[in-house]
Amino acid sequence: MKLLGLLFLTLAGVGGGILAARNAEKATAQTEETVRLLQLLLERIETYREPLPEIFASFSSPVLTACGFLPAYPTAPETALRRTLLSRELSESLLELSLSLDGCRSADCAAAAIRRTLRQGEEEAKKLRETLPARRKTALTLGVSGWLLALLLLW
Amino acid sequence: MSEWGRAPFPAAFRGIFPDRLYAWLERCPAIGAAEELHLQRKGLSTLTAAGETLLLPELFESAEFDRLLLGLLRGSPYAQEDRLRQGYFLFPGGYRVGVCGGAVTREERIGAPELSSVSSLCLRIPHRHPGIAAPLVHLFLQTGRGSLPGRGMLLYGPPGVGKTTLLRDLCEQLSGEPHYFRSAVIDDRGELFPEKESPGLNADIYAAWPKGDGLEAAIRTAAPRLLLCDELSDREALRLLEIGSGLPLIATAHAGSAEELRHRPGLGRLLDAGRFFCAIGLHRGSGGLGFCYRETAPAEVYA
Repeated sequence: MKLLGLLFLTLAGVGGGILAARNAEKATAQTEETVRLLQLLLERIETYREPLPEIFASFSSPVLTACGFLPAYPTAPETALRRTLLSRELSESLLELSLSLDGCRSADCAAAAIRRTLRQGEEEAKKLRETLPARRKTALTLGVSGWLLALLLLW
Repeated sequence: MSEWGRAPFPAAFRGIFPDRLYAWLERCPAIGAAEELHLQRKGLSTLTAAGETLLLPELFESAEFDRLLLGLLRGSPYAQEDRLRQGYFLFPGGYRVGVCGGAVTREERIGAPELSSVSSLCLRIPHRHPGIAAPLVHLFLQTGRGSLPGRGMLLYGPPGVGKTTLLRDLCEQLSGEPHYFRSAVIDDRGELFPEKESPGLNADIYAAWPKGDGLEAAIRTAAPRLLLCDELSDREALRLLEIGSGLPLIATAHAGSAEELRHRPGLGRLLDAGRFFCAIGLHRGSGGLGFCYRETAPAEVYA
């Protein structure tokens, strides 16, 4: 029984560490892809006044498709954002953006709304990218520590 | 190219119209001949089919009307800013939606209406009736191309009579098999060829170009043998006179009679300049979607 418990602790520790490290990577990738989407939106709206469904149809992002964000965002932003690992601040900003775009009768208004969210997204993406190695290391360290602890207890 | 004809209520509107209204429209026996939906916020909404007006079973709640409007705008009102300023917008597939709402003016210029102030919408359902323009094609080929080169036809009539449907078929017949007339189509509202392409036709589609600029670009760069333009206004008629082309033009215009046309500042001058070998009045026959032609000889028009 004790052995099983220790085995569980070891697996949970290591697994948790790996999962946390992977989530940190995913969150960074999703934020960066969201920034790319916002850049595309800005360019297409400012230059071509293209409607959202066409812009979304031309945007390809395996990262945002895999989490279920892309197919849902234009029509059901709240559901779409729940599926991502984006920060709460950026999620709120994206939700606000989708509401703003509904009411924007001019491309200038739409571009201004996108720029606000884009700035925030770019800052977050930069911060996440810079701190990613440290967060990955922390997560893995926690996992390995759990494993070592389990080993010590077993000893 | 898709055949519209007497089609069922378009599936493209599923999820945009409230479910119960969509279901009612789908079941409505007259839907195949639907021409226009007039939808009002909190007011009576109607369906016009084959010249008859039917009342829709329910009134639109304000929030429901907002959702419908946003759905028809595809969540992108900014993409239709210029059109909204002119009182309409387009839905993919050649649907024109007229917008009635409180105008916003700034420095005497009309801005796009606030969406919450839009009180009614007029959704025009386009039709395609292959072959309906056959008599006009014959007339054009016999007269316009032979004895009166460089002259075209002006089709006039009140709104909703089917001018665009007729012009579309004229274009398809003249620039398609077997004539393959090299044509330039100025389709500023995307109603003639919403696909922006014309497979099987020897035609260049100037989609979303303002008519005057589109006509000028076509004449200068596309070397067409025929120009087609829907809803020619006086301003564009004057612009066309300025540009000059020597090419036959087939155009439509809003007018109730040849007399009215003759007194219009731009179209009257275009007629006086002999740019059309005939003006053809259109009105609805008793059969609903049929057309009645009333050919007006140049002498009558210019008298």
